[in-house]
Amino acid sequence: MTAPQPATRLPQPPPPPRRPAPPRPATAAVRPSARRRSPRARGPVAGLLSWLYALVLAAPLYYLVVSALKTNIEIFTHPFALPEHWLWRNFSTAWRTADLGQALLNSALISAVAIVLTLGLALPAAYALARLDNRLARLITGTFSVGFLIPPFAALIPTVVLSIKMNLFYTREFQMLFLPAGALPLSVLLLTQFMRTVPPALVESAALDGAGNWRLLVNVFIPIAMPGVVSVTILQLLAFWNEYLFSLTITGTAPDIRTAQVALPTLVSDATDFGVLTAGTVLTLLPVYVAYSLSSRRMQEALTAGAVKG
Amino acid sequence: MNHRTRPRAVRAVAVFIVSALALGLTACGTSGHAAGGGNSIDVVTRWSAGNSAAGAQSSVFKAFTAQTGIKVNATDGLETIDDQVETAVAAGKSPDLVIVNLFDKTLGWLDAGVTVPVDGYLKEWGLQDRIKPAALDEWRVGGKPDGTLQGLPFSGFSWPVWYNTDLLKKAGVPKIPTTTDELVADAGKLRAAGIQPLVVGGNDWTGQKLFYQIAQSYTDAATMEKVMKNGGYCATPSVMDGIKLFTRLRDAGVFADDSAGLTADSMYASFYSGKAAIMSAGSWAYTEATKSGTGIEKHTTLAGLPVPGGSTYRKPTAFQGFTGVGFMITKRGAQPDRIDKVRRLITAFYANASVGHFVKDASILPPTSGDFGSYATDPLLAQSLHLDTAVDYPVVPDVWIGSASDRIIQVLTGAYGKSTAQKICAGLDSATKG
Repeated sequence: MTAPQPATRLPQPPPPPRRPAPPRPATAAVRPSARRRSPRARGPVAGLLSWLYALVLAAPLYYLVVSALKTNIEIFTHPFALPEHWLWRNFSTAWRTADLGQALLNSALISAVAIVLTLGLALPAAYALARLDNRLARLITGTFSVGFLIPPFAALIPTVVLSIKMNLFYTREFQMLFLPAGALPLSVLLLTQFMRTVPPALVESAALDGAGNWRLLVNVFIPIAMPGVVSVTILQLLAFWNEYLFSLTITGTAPDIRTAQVALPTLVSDATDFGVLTAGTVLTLLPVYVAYSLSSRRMQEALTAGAVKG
Repeated sequence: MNHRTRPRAVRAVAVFIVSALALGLTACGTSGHAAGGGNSIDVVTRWSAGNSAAGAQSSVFKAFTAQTGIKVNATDGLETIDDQVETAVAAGKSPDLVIVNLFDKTLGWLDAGVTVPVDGYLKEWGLQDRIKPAALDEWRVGGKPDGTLQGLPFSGFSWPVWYNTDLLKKAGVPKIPTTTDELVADAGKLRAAGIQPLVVGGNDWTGQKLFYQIAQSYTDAATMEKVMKNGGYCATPSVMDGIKLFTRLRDAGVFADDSAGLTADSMYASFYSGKAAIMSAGSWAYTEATKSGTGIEKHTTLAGLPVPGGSTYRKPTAFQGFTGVGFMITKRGAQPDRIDKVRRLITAFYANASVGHFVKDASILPPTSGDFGSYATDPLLAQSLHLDTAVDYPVVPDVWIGSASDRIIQVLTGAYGKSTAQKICAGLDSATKG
């Protein structure tokens, strides 16, 4: 069979009109002032609000970064001011004290294996659910949705008991297996929606060429649903990387196996150096920030595509 | 052929996953080292990496391993060290030794079978004559000399009141106050000079300790211990007098503005930066004060909290205790094949050089008899060692309030706000009963 051509990929939304017509609410006729307001007049207000929103989002990030370069006194007495002396050594102190190198490796390993397992299980499941449109498929989809109803905290004690019974308590391997289990409901539901956008004609054409389920999944469904795969990867990567409660309780705090999120609190004491602590926090955020930055455009495309297809 | 099915973003994610797998799989199959057997000892320690005592602890571990060949598998205990250890015991991965403070849940470990009594080991290991009897009593059940010994005390603390003498002079305060009337008058002078008086973390444990220090001004130790343990704040007139004294001081502006919302960290920052003239803080902060780089240690005098007329205490008060950090031996650690390793490690900590290292690095109050003055290089610690003649020591609440501690802090946050004495005592009674 031939590889899927670009023409068969996701239908792109039409380019936005250069001058979009303002929406016309039904009440516009009785509100002359609203009718007079042109898009150009609304522009500065919308722009201002956008900048304000961006500022609100950026403020905590700025606070985190400048705090990483300050002393405790500066953090508490002038929280938003620039550092008087830029304490770059806070980063090396955090790295060395909390043994962040090993912890970041552990986090990367657990997240990577968990992502591979999540996708390995969710993709075939989503493929099957997307191709079947019968009562059983709907029942299974509903069953996956039930997964959202279980609060993680409620699952903590049974999960600890399970890890003990499996003889995987205080190991990274249990997290590698457990995290995908928690991530499957959202992953399967998202991927199913993306895979339902595959044109039936393309599937029939590939089937006529002799493609079986495996080839259909690998060569047709996954490429077309790639924005969805990237979205799921990013969303779950963030969730896996930031997971704390189960990592602390089940994986534990031993320096050779603990994750970055568990290593960070070792910097807390009766007299915590918050500059060092925030420097450590910045270091643990960097890998996911880089991964997200590289993939964010693809994820936005996916979300936009999903929105226009309905 | 590139159909953009593998764009840059996807390749980046793939590279990340593959790299992580490649880097990590070499170590795959490993597990945490708790419950490791053989020639090793498993320790969970409250002195995590960020603690000022972590360096001295690490030195003891390294010297121990070099001397005995026994590897120390040390795991950091975080804020939830009690839960960590209990979960590990339930999972059959109990450590041999826990280095922890005596508080809340750890007070129940002996009854729960997590740890074993150490009375026998104290004599057998030759520590009875070395560790101060007062320190041992604090680690006995009920805090009494005839109680079962729950663990071996190591890190003691003094908890004086810090006075910034430069700021006092600037505000026209000629000497450190010794009575509450003087304190109220001095607070007025400080405020007039634009200086915050007594800063305290009303939202956490620092506020809790200062409250109890004031509240027991008119009560003897035995009665206070009983009230802290069983309740009866409203029904005990002398305790009510102490609570009323607290509200009088609060309403007179003795505490810094917005104390109800402050925490220990904001308290330290405010004092070190010269915004507030007085704070109550423990010896663990001496090292950090010097490290703050503000020179605060050069113009700080350590003394006691002023007492009111008619107080049970003749001199200003400061806390002192040995419930800081000590050694608790688990059932696993007490097994015949493991107890000797535990003995060797614990006795290594009590060697004079080791204790001295902790005194120097972490400003601990030494648990053993002996002269550690030469190790007290920190100026604040040096002052602290001579506090005995200047202060009286009231009851440290930790052991007595036990697991009600967090509930009590919630009540006392209101006390640093606007709560009346009646509301405070009712809240404390309710919090004590749980």
